[in-house]
Amino acid sequence: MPVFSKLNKKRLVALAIAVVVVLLVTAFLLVGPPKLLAKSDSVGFCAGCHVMEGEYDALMHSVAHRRGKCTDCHLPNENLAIHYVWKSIDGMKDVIFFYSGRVPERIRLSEHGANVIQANCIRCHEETVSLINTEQKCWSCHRKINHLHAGAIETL
Amino acid sequence: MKLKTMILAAALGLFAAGCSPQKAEPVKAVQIPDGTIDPELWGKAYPVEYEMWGKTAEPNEPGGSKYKKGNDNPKGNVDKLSEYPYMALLFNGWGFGISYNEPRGHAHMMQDQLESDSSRVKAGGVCLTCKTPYANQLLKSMGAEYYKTPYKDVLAKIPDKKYAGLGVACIDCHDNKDLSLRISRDFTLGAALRDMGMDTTKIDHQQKRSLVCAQCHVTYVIPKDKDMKSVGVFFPWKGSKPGNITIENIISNIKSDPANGEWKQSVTGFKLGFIRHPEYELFSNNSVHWKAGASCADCHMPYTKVGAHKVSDHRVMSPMKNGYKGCLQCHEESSEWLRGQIIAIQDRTVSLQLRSGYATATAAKLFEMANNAQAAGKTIDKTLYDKAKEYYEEAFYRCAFIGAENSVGFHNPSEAMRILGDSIAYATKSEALLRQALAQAGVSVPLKVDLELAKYMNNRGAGKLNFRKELEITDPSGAQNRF
Repeated sequence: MPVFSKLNKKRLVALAIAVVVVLLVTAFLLVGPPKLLAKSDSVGFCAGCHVMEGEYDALMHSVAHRRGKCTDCHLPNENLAIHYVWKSIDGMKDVIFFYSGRVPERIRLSEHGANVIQANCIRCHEETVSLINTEQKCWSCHRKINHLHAGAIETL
Repeated sequence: MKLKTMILAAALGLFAAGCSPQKAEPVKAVQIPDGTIDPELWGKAYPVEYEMWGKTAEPNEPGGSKYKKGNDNPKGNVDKLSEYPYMALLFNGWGFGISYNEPRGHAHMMQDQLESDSSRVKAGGVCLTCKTPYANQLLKSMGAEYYKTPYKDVLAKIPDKKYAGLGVACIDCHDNKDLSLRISRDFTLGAALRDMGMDTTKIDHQQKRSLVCAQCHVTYVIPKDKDMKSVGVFFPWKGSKPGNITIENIISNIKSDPANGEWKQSVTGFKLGFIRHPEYELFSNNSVHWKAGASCADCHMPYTKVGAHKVSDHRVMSPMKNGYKGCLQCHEESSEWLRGQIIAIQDRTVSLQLRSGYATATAAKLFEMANNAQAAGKTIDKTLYDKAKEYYEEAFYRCAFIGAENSVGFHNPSEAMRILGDSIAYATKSEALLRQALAQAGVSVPLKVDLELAKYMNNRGAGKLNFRKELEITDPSGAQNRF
């Protein structure tokens, strides 16, 4: 805990002002005219990395779920805070993997990713599945949801 | 102080943003008390599933299945011995050789036991294990006597007479508190799974969607004491692994203990065990659909839309009889295409089934000949006879395994063909050794052994049942005619 002398108090005030300015600028960038927050949630943003081209094509050529955003399924949507926490984590992970060249040939869903998607299926289709057990992943039968089973890279 | 405030403020902020709207819970109409067997009470809480379950009492649209017509006609009575005449010879000596029908819907299971010749339930109260929801209660109250006490006497002990004819009900598969799946027959299935090294406290939902069916759709052994009274019931799975329960292990289980010899085959005089409806064993043994992650319920209780909700279709039946609903979710080919594939598999299975059955029956008849020759004073080579008997048993159990399995090969086509192929190999080798032994003893054996099927097929049991030619299943490939 810093000692509060006259000198430090002035510095603290200056620091506080700087922090507020940074927060305001960030807020402007994110939700102001540049709309960075919305843009980084958009399909075009995710598909901007070329390794996602196959998945993007598959989504655009599929019948259902084509109008949604990638993040509608691939990020938690129960509440805003969790959404942005995971958006940051996954986003940074994608950046690191992509720019270090560590992208696998076949990009597969992780176990956590599968749980997130399952929760999102239930979020939109809650009434329909309210009378059945939802432990089994929805796409084990509804296989066309899977990017690899639809559109341009359909393998079935 | 300031830091603490900031942390508190941040935490509160996260909590505020962290809350999600409350999940909508359906209104619980009725609480089901523990141990409730009465399906009507369960039905008050779950009317949709209850209604579907009740529909298993109705016959299905006839003509859906080519080989399994048991539920096409409300009266049932599709005599399996007339469908596969060799069975009348092989099973002569106990109930299966008298009255053996193709199954009907689940709702009929108790009635079918009562309508079949009483020799079928000679084993005693143990026969109720897979039929009445009261089985656990009866076992608990009667102890070891449950198994051997005559069937009708144990049946009379069912407290609520209204439900003496009740077959599988909600309590057999579900927990009354939250309707999650629950294995009710722990003393048979639970024990068998633990025999295979499975931790029965940690079974996930998808596994249970097969295992609740595996409470009954399995083979079992009723060991007998020296007075031929039933002392228990178990599944012969020791030595097998989950997902790999083999006929080889089942046979070695049966042969490991003389108590597992449940009956005497009259034609050969041999004390043998038996194999009953091994759907779970066949399906789970690395079949393609099992490996794809499909459970019994995925195909036989497919999800159906009722109003706004998806529910499992509790009218358990063959997908061939309900429009291939269980298939079409994953397979996008047409129903006609799917039916063609299924029938192709079943035709080929039936072809080898008949080959196996008649080859085994021929060997049985030669044993009869050898036994008669021995009784008449001739010497039958012991080595040849014993080897022939060893091969005969291998053939018999395999033949019975696929013969009793109710998918006509579809649950695991290549494994079914493998088992039947081996059965034929063992049976024909047994026949060869017997012919050799008989020739050595100076007994002439005709080119084609007369199975005398009419003797076994006609005038069976108290009901004087006879062969019904119109039911007989012929080899689709025509090859059986050459044997």
